[in-house]
Order: sequence, then C-alpha cells, then structure tokens
Amino acid sequence: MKKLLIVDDSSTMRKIIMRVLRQAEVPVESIIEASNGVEALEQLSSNPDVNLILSDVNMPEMNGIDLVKSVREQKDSDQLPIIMVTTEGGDSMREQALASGANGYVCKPFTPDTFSEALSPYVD
Amino acid sequence: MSTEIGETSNDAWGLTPEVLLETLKESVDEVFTTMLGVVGELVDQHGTGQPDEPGEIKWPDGQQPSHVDFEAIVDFKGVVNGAVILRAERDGALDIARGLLRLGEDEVLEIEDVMDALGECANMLTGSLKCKALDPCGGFHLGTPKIDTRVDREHDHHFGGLVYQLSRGCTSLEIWMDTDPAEGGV
Repeated sequence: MKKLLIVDDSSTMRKIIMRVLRQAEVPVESIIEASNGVEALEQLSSNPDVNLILSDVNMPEMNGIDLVKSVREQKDSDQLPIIMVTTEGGDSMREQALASGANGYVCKPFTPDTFSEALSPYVD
Repeated sequence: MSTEIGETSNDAWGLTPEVLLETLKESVDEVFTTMLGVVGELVDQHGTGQPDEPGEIKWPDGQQPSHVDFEAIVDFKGVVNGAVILRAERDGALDIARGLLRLGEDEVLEIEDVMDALGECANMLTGSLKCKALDPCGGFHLGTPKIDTRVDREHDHHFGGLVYQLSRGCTSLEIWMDTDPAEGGV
C-alpha cells in the first residue's frame, strides 16, 4: 500500500487523478496534495513516509522539473519514485523530466488504463 | 527560415490558420472524449479575422448569440507567440466542469471549481495543440491558465474559432497569434 503525494496547481486535475486511481484499483493507503513544488517540498518534510509522487510540470512558484531536482538533491530520496503527469507531452520535455530524475511520464489527456500502466512498476 | 512577400511568419513555419484549427479540432475530440466523457458537436467554425464579439459566442444561421460567462486563456511562446482561448456560457462551463469531475447534473459546483475546470480544459487543449502542431516547429513553452469572466488577450491576430454544443450549453475555442515576427522569437 502506498502513500501518494499529488502535485498539481489545478484542483480539478488532482480530483481527476484520485478518481482514476480508484477506477484503476491502484492500491493506495492515503493521498496528500500540493498545488506547486514549494508546497510539495513542505508536504514531504512533514510526511517522510510518502512513497510515490505524481507531479504536474507547468506550475507557478516552483515547477515540476525543479521539484524533481530538489527532491533528488535530498538525502534518502533517490529511491522515491516520481511520475510526471502533464500536458507537456513533447519529446524534449519528456527527456528533460527524465534527465532531471523523474522515473516516468504520463501525458494528459489519459485513460485509466494508460495511467495505471505508467504507475504499475511503482505500486504493489 | 526566410519569410516570402505576402507570407506571415506563422505561415513560414507551416502554422497556417487551417493547420492550427484542424489540429485544435483533433485535440478537442481527444480531450472531450477521454477526459470529459462527452462528444461535443461542432456547430460552427469561424475563419481568420472573424472573431466573436466580446462577451458573445456567435452561432451560425443568424441564431441568437450566447452570452459568455467565463474565459480561460493559455499562452504559448516559441518561434511564434499566441494563445488558445476557451469561452463558455454558464451551462457550457458547467458541462465541462461536470464532465471533467464526472458529476451528475444535479450536483452543485462552487464557482471556483468551475473556473479551475475551465482552466484545466484549456490547458489540456493547448498542450495537445503544442504536441501535435507547435513542437515540430521548435521548442514552445506554455503559460499557466488564466481564468476570469474576461481575460486580457495580448495577441492581435485572430486565427479562427470553433463552436461546440455540449450537453446543455455551448463553448467556443479561439486561436490568436502575434503578427509581428519580432515578438515571436525565442
């Protein structure tokens, strides 16, 4: 069972992701939310037991690429999987996200199946 | 890339109004079907230089225009600059929000939820347009969505628009571009 952190500046997208996780029957124990990278780092600080991050790329305050870099700079976080969930589906953005340390990439719009497939290596 | 006489910088990159509008149609089909669970009926298509009046969505055949209650804009910047604007009357906005959130027609929505849903819808549509048509011309960056009853539009060239009938209301999508090539570089 997983504790997930969903990072997206759109509350609509955070709700969509939670619904899709339920539909895809992804085993999730609890979900916490953040609306940008800065909030996500604060959530991680107070919730060190988070074991999967789903993050948007294009956000105010701190974007998803900078969030990944910040997380990877922290000790003990190199094993924390981070999946980017974004409209920025081009090859260059995908390469940039993976080069920064993200583990996977889901492009919006997505179906429950494509979402579940991207998460499958990181959930029980 | 050089620009020939009579050709705009957008045309020189292959980003003609026809190409962008056809691509936007594909994006609408994809996003509406996958994320909203609805198939919008395309009821009108406006050509270059025929924007809707501010505050109105124009219908074909002289039908009464619909009043626009919300607008969401997502800018793109790259070898050319522009934006996608999603405009919706109240019922069309509710159709989009309820579709994205998979809510029934009798479920109440806060106005903040409706506006956020419109912004996310515009974001996905612009992202899809970027992947399909813009990125092959070079690197593009998207802005974060801006949503209000009226949004400020910084681009001066109307590239065309699409009007869709949804379950209970309607929505329109417009593409605007900068005409000055000097404003479009990266």
